Amino acid sequence: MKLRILGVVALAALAGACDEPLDPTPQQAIPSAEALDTPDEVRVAANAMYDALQDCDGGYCRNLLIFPDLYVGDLAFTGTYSSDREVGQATLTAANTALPGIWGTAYSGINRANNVLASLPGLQDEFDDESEYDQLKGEAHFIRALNYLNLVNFFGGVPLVTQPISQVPSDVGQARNSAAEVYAFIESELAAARAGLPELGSDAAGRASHEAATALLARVHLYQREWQQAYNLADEVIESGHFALEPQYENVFEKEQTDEAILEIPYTVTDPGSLAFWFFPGSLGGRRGAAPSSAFRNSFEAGDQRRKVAVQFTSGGTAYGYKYTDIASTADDVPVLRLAEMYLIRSEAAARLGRPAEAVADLNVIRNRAGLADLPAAVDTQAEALAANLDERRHELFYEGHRFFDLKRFADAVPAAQAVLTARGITGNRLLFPLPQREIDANPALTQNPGY
Amino acid sequence: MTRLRVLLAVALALALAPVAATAQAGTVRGRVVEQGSNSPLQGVSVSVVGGGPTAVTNQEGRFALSNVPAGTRTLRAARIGYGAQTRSVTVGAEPIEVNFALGTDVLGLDEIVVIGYGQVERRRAGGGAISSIRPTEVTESAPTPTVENVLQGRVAGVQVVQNSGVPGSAISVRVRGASSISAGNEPLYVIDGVPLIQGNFSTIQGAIGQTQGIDALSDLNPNEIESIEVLKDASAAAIYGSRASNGVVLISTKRGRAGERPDIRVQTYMGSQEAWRHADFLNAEEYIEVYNEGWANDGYLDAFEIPLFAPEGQDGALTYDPDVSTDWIDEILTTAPMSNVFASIAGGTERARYYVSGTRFLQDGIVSGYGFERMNGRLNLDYTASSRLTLGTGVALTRGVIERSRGDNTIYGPFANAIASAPIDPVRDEDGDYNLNTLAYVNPVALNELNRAEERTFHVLGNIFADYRLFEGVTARLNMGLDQYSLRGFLYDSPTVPPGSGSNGYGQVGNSFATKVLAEGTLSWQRDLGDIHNLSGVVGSGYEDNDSEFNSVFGTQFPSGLKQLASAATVTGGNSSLSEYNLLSFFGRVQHSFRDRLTTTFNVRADGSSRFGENNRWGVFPSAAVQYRLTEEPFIRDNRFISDLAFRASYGRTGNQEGLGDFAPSALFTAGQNYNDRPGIAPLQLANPDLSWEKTDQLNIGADLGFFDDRLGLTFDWYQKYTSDLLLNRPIPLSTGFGLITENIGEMRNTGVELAVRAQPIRAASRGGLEWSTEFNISHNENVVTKLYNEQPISGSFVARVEEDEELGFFRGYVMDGIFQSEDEICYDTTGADCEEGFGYQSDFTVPGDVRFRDLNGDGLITSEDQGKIGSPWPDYTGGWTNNLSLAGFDLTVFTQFSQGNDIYNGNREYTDAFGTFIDNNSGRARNRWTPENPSTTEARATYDDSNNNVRSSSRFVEDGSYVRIKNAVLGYNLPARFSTRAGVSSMRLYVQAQNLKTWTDYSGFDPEVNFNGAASITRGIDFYTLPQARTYTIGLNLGF
Repeated sequence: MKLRILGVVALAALAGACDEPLDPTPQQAIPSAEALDTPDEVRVAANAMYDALQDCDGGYCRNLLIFPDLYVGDLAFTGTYSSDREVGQATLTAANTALPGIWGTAYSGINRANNVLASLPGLQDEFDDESEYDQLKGEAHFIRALNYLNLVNFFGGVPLVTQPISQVPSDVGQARNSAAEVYAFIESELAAARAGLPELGSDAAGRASHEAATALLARVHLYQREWQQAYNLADEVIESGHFALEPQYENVFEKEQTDEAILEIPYTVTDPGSLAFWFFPGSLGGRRGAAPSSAFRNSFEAGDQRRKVAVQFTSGGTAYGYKYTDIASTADDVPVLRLAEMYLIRSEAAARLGRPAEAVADLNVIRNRAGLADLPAAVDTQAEALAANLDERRHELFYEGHRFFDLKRFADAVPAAQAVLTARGITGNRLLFPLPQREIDANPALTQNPGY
Repeated sequence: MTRLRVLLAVALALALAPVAATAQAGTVRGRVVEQGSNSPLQGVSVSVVGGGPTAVTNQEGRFALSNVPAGTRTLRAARIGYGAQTRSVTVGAEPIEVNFALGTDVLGLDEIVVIGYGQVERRRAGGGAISSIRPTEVTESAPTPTVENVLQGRVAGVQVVQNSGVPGSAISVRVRGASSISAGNEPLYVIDGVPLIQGNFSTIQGAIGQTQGIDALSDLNPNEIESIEVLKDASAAAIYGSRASNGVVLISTKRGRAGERPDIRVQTYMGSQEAWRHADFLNAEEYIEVYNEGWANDGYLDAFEIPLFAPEGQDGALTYDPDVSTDWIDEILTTAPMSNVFASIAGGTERARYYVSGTRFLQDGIVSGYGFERMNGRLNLDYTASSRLTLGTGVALTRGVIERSRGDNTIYGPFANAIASAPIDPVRDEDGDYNLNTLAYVNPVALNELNRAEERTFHVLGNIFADYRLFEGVTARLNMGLDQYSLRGFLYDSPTVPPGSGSNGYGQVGNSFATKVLAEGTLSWQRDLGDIHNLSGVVGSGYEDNDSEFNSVFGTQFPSGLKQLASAATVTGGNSSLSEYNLLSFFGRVQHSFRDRLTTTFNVRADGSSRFGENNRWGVFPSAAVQYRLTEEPFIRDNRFISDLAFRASYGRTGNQEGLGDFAPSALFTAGQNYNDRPGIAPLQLANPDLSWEKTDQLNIGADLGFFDDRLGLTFDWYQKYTSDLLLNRPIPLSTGFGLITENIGEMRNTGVELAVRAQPIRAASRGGLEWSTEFNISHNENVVTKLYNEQPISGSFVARVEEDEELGFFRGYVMDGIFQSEDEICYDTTGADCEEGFGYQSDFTVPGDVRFRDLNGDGLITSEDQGKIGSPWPDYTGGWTNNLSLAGFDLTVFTQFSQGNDIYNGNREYTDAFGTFIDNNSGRARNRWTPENPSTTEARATYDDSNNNVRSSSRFVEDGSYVRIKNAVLGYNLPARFSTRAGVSSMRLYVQAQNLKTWTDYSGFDPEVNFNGAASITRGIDFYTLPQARTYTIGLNLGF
C-alpha cells in the first residue's frame, strides 16, 4: 500500500509536464457519455439502427430470410453448419448457435433505437427542422416494432426493453413479457411511427416511411388474426398511390428499390451481404448452404415465371435458389415489405372475413403478374380462397422469411398447412423456437419455451 | 514528451547515488587454462566480486584488469561450460599475476544465469526457480527453426506444443500449466532487457479463415542467442509484475569478447521435409460401396429404385467414372526443402567489442502453398569508455516472408479439402484443366495452385544502454529499447475457384504496425560486507509506450493472371484501426546472502497501466525467496559423495494483463455501423472502472542436489499457483443490446512437480575418449478452475469446455456406449418412461448399427443434458530426455520428447466417420462399419440421413493423445584440429540430423502434436483438418575461422 502511494507520488512528479500517460484518448471510439449530444450525432446513430438490420448473424443478411423456409422444408439444408442442419431437420435445440444471432441482433437494433429515442427529447430545440426531429423519432419507433415483431414470431413473448442500457445489468435480468404485451407494444410503436414519419419520398430508399409503418402494422394485425384492421391497413397502402407492382417478377429483385418496394434494405459493396453466396453452388462461387427442396421445386404451376427465380440448375444438375443473384459483390437489396404482400394480406383478410370473391381478385393480381391465368372460377369458397392464398404466398414470398409463420397461421384453415407441419414434427411446442440457451444462462429471470 | 520521460527516468536512476571519490587502484594480470589439458581458455570472464572492472581472456587465455581498488579482493573466473573459480588476492600499487585453471562443467550446475534488469547470478546463488538453456549448444549441434523449438522438451515445467506443421506459425508455450482463460497463456519474452511484441498481427487472418496464427516471435533467430532463462516461480518472475503470471523467458544475445583475432563462424544446413504419416482413407471403390450402402440402409434404394452412385448411364443417380480413384492427400503433399545459412563474426578489444551476424532460413511447407523465409541481421556493440562508463547497443533486423494458405476450419483449405474430397473426383478433366465440377468440396489441388496468401514482416529490435559505475559495487544503467514490427499482408483468391470465383477474383492488402518504446533506469549494487554478508540488488523505473495500427483494403474483379490489389476493378472496402496503451513501472530487488548459506531475496514491482480501470490503476507485485545451502555447512562441506545440497522456498504474486483491450474499462460508442453509405455510430461496450489485472500467487518449494563432484545433479520443484480475478468475458443478457462484459471473475489453481536430472555417467579418461552425458526432465501439472461467474460454464470450439472444479478446456460431450446390435436394445418410447435403465430414447429412426449414447441423467431420454466429461487435453506428465555420446571426434545427440495421458478430440471424424452421410471421404474405419454380418461394437453403420446423429460430439472421437517422439537426432563429426587448420579453418563439424525421426502414438490422425485453433486458451488438443508436422532430414556443416 505504501508502495502504491509512492508510485502515485512518483507518477505525479513524472506526469507534471506530460500528457496523461495512463489516460490516453481513444482515436476510433467515442466515450458513451458524450456520444449522443448533438443532432448530428443522433442522425448517425439513427443510421446505425438500420445497420443492425443488415447483420448476418441474425438480420436480413441471411437467417431471418432463410430459416422460416428451411425449418418447414421449402429450403433443404445443403451446407456444413450444424446449426443450420438442426433447422433443416426441424430438430432445434436451445444450444443451437444460430439462435443467439437472431435474438441478439434484434436487441442490438432495439438498444440503438432506445438510445436515439432517449437522447432526442433533450435536443428538440437544436434541430433546425422540426420534421427531421419527428422523422428520427418515428424511425426509431419503427425499428423497435420491426425487431420485436421478428422476436415474437420466432420466440413468442420476450422481454420488452424500452430504455437504453448504460449499466451492467444485475444478476437477474428482465423477465419475458407475454406475446400479447409484445404485440400491444408493437402496435403502439407503429402508431407513433405512423404519426411521426413522412410519406414516402424519393430520397427515402431504405428508410422507414409512413407507408412502411402502415404496411408493417397490417402484417402485425394479420398475425394477430385481427382481419379487419389488417384489411384496412393493407388497403390503405395499396390505395396510397405510391406503389405499383413491378411488371416482371424477377425485376423486383434484379432492379432493386422498384416502385413495388415499401421497405427494402439496401446493401452496398461495403456491407457484409451474403445471400447470393449462400444460395449459389461452389461452381458459381457460392457455398450453397441451403437449396430449394424438390417438394418446393415441383410445387409450381406450369408457366409460373417465379419458378426460375426459385430454382436454377447448374450444368451438373445442382439446384440452387436464384432470388438473390449478385454473387460478385453480394450487394443484393433485401425486401422487408413490398406491395405484393399487401395484396396477399388484403386477400387473406377478405377471405377470413367471408368475402372469397374479393380475396380471389387480389390473388389474381399477383398471379397475372407471375404470368399465370386467373384462378379457376371454381375457387369460390372461403376455404378454397385461403388455400389458394397460402399457395400464392409460398410461390411469391419464398426466401423472404414468411413460410413458417404462414403455415402456422393457416394451420387451422388449410389442412395442407397442418399436414406439412405434422410431417416435419413441427407441432405443439415446436411451433416456437427455443430461447437461446446462452440467454437463459445469462438471465435466470427467463423461462424457456416448453419442450426444449 | 517521451524525451522528458526518459530524462526523468535517468534522473531517478542517478539521483539516489552521489558520485564517489576515486580510490587508490592497482592492476591484476593473469592467464586462464583448462584443467587437465592446460590449453589456454579464451572468452573467460574475469571479474572482481562485488563490483569493479571486468576483463575477458584472449586467445592465449590472458587477461588484464586495471583500476582494481586496492585491498583484499576476490577475483572470479567464469566461462559457460566450465566451473567458475574464485581466488583471493591483495591488490596494491604493484601489478600482480593470478592464474586460473578451470575444470569443465558440462552439466552447468553452477553456471551464470540472467535474472533480469542487467543482473546475473550464479545458479546456486538465488532461491528462485529458473531454468536455463544455452542455445549455442542446441543451435550448433541440433539446429531448430525457432526459439520455442529450442525450449521444447528441454525445460522441466515448460510445455511447448507445435500446434501444426504450418511454417512460421505460432507455437504454444505453457510455463507450469495455463493460468488464464481469456488473457493469454504465453510467457513474456524479454530480449536483452526489452519486452518483445508478441502475438498475431496478421491482416489476412480472418479473410483466409486460417486458425493457425503467425507470431512476431517467429522472427527471432536462435543462432544469435547466447542464453535463455525461463523464470518460472514468483520470486524469479515478480520483477516483471503485471505481465509475469505465465512465466518470463529472458533471452540474451551473443556479444563480442576482447581477443586478438576475430571469431568467425559459418554454419549451414540443408535438407528436406516430408509427411511422416498418411492417415487411412477410403479409395473410390470403397467410397462408392459405403455411400450406396448408407443410401440403401435408409430405404432410398427401395423407394427410388436407383442407387446413390452409379456408373454413367443410370438416370437419377450421381455418376462416377469407375477408372478414377484419387488419393487427394497424396496429391497435395510434397517433399519440401529446408535450409539455413548463418555467419557471424565476433571480437574486439578491451575497449570496443562487436558481434555481427546474418542468417537466412528457408522452410517450405509439405503443402506447397505454405512457406517461411527469414533473414536476420544483428549488430551488437559494447564500448568501454572509461573504467566507469560502458556503452552498448544491439540492433537486429529481420525480414520474414510467410506464405500462407487457408487451413484447419475452412472449406477452402487445400489440406482440409484433401481430407474431405471424394476419391471419385479426378484432379483434372479430359482437357487437362482442373476439375472444378467436384462432388462437394472445391478441388484442393486447384486451391493450392491458384490462390495465394502471403505476409511480409519487417522487424526492428534495438536497444542502447549505458552503465555507469558510481562507486564500488554500485552501477547505474539507462536502457532504451525499441521494438518495431511491421507487416504487409496480401491475399489473392483466383477468379477460377471459389471462394473468389463468384466475384471474379478477390484480393486484399493490409498493413499492420506495432511499436513498443521502452525507457528505463536502474541502479544496481553488489557488495561483500566482509566475508559473511553479501548484499546485492536493483531499483529502477520504466516507461513503456505501445502503439498498434492496422489498415486493410479489399477488392474484386481481377483480370486473369494479375494478383495484386491494384488490378482489382472494384475496391469493395477497407478498414483501419489505431490504438495504444502505456505502462509505467517501479521495481526493486534485494538479495542478501549469509556465508553463501542462507540467501534471501525480495522483489517488488508496481505497474500502472492505461488498460486498468480507474479504480484499480496500480498493481503491486511482491515476492520473497529463501534458500539454504547445506553444503556450505562445515559438517557436510567435505563429504565426497554430496557436492551440493540446497533447499529453496519462494512465494509471491505476479499478474497478467494481456486479456485487457486497450480501452477495455471505458464505455464507448464505435463508428463504422454504416447504412446505405452513410456513417453510423452505435454502443460498443459498457464501462467497468474496476477492471484490473489477473493475479497469480505462487508458492514454490525446491531442492538442488549434486553428487560425485557434480557429475549427477538433480533439481526438484513443487509449486502451487493460485490465480484469481481471472478476466472473463461474462455473457450478459443479449436483450441489453450487449453480449459480453469483461470482468475480473474467475479463479484457477495449478499444482505441479518438476524434476530435472543431469548426469555424466561416463567421463572421458583422456581427450577423445568415450563420454556420455544425459539430461532428463519430467513434470506434472494439475489444473482446476475453481470459480466462474455464477458457475456458468464456458464453451470453446467443439467439445472444449470450462466448468468449475474441472480442468480448463476439458472435453465435454455425449458418451458413446457401444453400437445397438438389435432392435430389442433400442427404446422407442418418446417419453423415456418405458426405457430400460441406462437405455434412453434417441430418435424414432434409430436402428441397429447406430451409436448408443449413455443416458447420464437417467431420465430415459438422450438430450443435451446427457453430456459429460469425456476427456482432457492436459497430459499427466510431459518431459524430454537428451543423450549425448561422444567418441574420437564423433558425437551423437538424441533428444526425445514425450507427453503422456492427454486426450485428443479428433474433430475430423465428425465428418470422416459419418459413414455414407456427408459426401466427405470416410476414414479407413468405414471398412469395419457395422453390418448385420459384421456386428461391430465400435464403428457405426453406413447411413445417408444419420437420423440418430451418430457423429454428434461424443467420446466416440476422443483418442489417447500420448506420444513419445524422437524430436531430434544428430550424428556429427568434428574434424581434428590438425586437419582443419591445414584446411584453413580452426574448427569444422559435419553432421546429419533428423527431426521428428520416429513417433510412437496410438493417435489415428496425422499428428498427435496438434491444436487446430493455435492461439486459443480454452480450445486445446483438438484436431480439425490441421496440417501435420513434417519429418525432416538435414545435413549440416559448421566452420570456425
